[in-house]
Amino acid sequence: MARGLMRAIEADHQPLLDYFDTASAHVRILLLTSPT
Amino acid sequence: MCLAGAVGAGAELLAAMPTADLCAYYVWVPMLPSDDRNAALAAAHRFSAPRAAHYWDSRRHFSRRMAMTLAIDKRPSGAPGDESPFAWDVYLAYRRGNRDIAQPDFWMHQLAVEHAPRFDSDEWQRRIAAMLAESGV
Repeated sequence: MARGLMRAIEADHQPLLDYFDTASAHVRILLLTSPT
Repeated sequence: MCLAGAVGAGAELLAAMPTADLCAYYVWVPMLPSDDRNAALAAAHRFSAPRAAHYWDSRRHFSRRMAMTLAIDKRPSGAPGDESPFAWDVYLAYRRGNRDIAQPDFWMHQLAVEHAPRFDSDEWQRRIAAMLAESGV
């Protein structure tokens, strides 16, 4: 999972959806939270 | 509870399962006055890990979408001055093969909603372990 440390989500939710669709891990967790 | 949730649902889970075929997506959402890109970068550094990826939802596009799909009401999750519902302090899990980000296999939260379980780190880890066991890993 080595890529840029943090990527911006645009209106179409890319690149998150691109990566989510291709990830092959047995379990993926998605955490939405504020940074402070 | 925001960073505490990221610790419990993310970092502690990854640490507890160091060899599991598990990856974490942290989506940092600006909900508090102190939340900006620099704060998100600092959090991304703090929670940086080989199995972790970080995203900055600066305009809350994704948070709004997930609020709709998870049926999160605007009252408990709305930021001051913004009437839109947002998904934040929510933790979602997906089995392998589930390609629909809007349909998690399991999720927990730290909001005032009642149609999903409130976050509990022990239960979260137990459920993730069960999902991994179903996959034979």
